[in-house]
Amino acid sequence: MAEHSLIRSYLDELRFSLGKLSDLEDVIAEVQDHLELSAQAHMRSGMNSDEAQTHALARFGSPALVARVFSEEEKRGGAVSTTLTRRAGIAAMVAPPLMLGGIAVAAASNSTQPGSGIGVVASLAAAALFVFALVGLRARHGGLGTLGRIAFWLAIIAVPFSSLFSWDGMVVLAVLLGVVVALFGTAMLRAAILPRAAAGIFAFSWPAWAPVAWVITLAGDDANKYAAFPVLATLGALMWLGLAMWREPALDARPTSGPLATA
Amino acid sequence: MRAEALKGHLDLLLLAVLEDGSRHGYAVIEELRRRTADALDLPEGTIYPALHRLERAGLLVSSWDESSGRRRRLYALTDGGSRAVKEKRRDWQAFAVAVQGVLTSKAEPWPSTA
Repeated sequence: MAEHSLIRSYLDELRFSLGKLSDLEDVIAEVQDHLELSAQAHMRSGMNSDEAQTHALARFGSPALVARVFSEEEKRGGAVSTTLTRRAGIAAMVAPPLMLGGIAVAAASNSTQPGSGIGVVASLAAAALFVFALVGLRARHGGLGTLGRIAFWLAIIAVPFSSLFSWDGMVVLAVLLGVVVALFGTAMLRAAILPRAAAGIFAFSWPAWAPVAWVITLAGDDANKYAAFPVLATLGALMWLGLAMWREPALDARPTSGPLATA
Repeated sequence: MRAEALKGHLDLLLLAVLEDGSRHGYAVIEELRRRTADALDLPEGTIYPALHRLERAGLLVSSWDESSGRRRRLYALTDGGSRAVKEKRRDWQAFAVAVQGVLTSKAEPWPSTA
């Protein structure tokens, strides 16, 4: 099918404006099809070729405008609230108290008491909910890009990997999880979809603890006394993010009652 | 109806147009224009990012057709997209009934305290 010169020029300009869009050639093909169909419709209504192309291009929007909207959507990805993200929001709110409760119960019990087993089970359940919460956060942001992918897979391997280190495993786990929340939180801050304060606290409470602990130690105090604060801040921020995700109405089906009913 | 009000519901409108079957982007836009009596006055190119976003969210699925001699992308609703349209249509109808009730009802006088 013959291509119109004005449409060809527009597509060249749009290709330049779109830059490094991930599916650039598909977008150009789709836009070309649209503009050719539009121009043909205008020609059937009596316009000549140049008039038809001009009208089709005017209705489509300038390359700069179209490229800007594509670029904004590319950054956001498929960033919509769905039933999955709302469920992940509940997981994000439940995981921290479940984890803290499990650790407390396990610590208060000796290994022969049932409480020890209950504490371990609760902690493992909390870890699973934590991973699901990250799945939901990643889905809510439409992917979070490279930072989100690295953080997600680090979270998956953190517990099994750190278990290889015996007594030092807790230190390895703490470091890995610190990297996970920093990467994840940074990606969420950049996307600016959920509350930025929550994303910032989530991202930087834990990594910021190292220099703070160093300053406290230099001041002659025991930094371990305050180690709970960054952990609690990170977990609190996760619950805040979970609440924000849960409160959004889902674009897909929702139940009419229960905690998944839209507020 | 002001076009700005329609823009805020663009996702729902796009999904609703695709309930009847798969369409390419130009057909989606023309159908939107027809159903809204030209009230939806958006630059046509800005609708494609919305379609792509709905696909990434799992509410639409796309496929390529080259039978016309050009690459043509067709969009269709997924099961999740079908559920979303039904749900949002129910919400919208309930909203419309409620607003209509307020706008058309006469105010009841307050009971007399005399």
